Amino acid sequence: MHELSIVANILDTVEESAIKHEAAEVTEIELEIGELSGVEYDALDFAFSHAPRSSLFRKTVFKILRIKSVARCHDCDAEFPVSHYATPCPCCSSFKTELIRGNELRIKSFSFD
Amino acid sequence: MCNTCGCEGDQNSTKFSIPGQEDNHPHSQDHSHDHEHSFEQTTGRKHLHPHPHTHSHEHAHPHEHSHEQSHDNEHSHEHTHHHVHEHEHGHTHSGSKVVQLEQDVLSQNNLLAERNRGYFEAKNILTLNLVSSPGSGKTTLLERTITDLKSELSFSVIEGDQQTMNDANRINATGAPVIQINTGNGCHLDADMIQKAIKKLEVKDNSVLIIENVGNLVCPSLFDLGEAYRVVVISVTEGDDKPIKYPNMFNTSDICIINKIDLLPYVDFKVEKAKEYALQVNHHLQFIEVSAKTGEGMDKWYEWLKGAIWKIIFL
Repeated sequence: MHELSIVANILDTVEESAIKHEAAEVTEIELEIGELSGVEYDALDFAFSHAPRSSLFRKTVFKILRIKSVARCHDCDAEFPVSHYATPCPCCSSFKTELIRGNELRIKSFSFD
Repeated sequence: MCNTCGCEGDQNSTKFSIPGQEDNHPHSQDHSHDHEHSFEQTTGRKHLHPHPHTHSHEHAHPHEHSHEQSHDNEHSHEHTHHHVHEHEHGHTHSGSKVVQLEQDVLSQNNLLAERNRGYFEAKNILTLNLVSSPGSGKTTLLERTITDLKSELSFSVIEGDQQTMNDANRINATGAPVIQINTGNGCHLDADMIQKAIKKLEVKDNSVLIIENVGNLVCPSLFDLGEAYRVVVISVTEGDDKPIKYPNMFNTSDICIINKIDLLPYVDFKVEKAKEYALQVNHHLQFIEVSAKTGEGMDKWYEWLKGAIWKIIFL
């Protein structure tokens, strides 16, 4: 359940910034999470609803933008969608591929009153 | 309860203990404090300073235009009115303000990991992050490695486990300096724990520091500790499809040690199949097949280890 420490990291980061902006309440946190980031969306939702929250986050809505994974083939340069690390290139069947998108774990923005 | 001296400790806190010095260990490490501090330094510069500066616009709806556009426009000051913009602020329809953070969730950990890495590089310390599922033989591999090479190389070890001093005591018996991190409920080590551990461990210059991570093929893959190499260990008593079942860990590792090869005649594990799967998730991965128990194949591992420390000291 590293999702709990991920959520703790997110709340720490946003709180730090929110305090500097003299926010009374954080209304929304928008995250970009890649499909192959190693984080389970359901576990993340669960962690958000159970993580200890300060008063700043009482009403916070968590918005997760799922980023589809894309790999690039080393041998033929093709770019193609993947749902698993061990996906061969659809053009030349090579496994020499590099994930170029889809392992993001990013706090995009937050809104506050 | 604290497992080193029997005192009552917080289950959620991380404990650091050196064999023989258990009485001096701190019982609780509040690592969120340090995180916040270092975070302030980076993000403060990057994102958080408000930039109240004035733009002149001829247009009534400045939010429809990017900053670039408004800067590029040639317009007369006589016809303008002033807006105060904070770069990171937008506005939602409800009137809430928006801060565009665009920041990695693990940036605090990554920052601390880079600080660790700089410290290791400056002191010529080869740091390895040893990861695997529980029971793959990491500690046995370390015991044998240190015993066989201690006349040639200087070792120190950071042991990560949820509970007990057992692994640290085993390493301590080899004579290498060791510190045990008990993560309590935590399922991985992070860069902050390593920073605290190396302060207590006093790692020598020109030496090898091996971090034995918590036995877990999932969570530790996300946390950079500042290591030079990540070494994943699988044993032949596990399934040979482990690399595709836990791809993140194999994808982020540099070296794959296949351990317990003395048991190959008794198990269904196919070494070539395991390698094929592992290369599907990471075609850069290098393999070393060993039996830490019988010593078979260990010479190849030692050769790699000596080459890696040589590179760090002389290149």
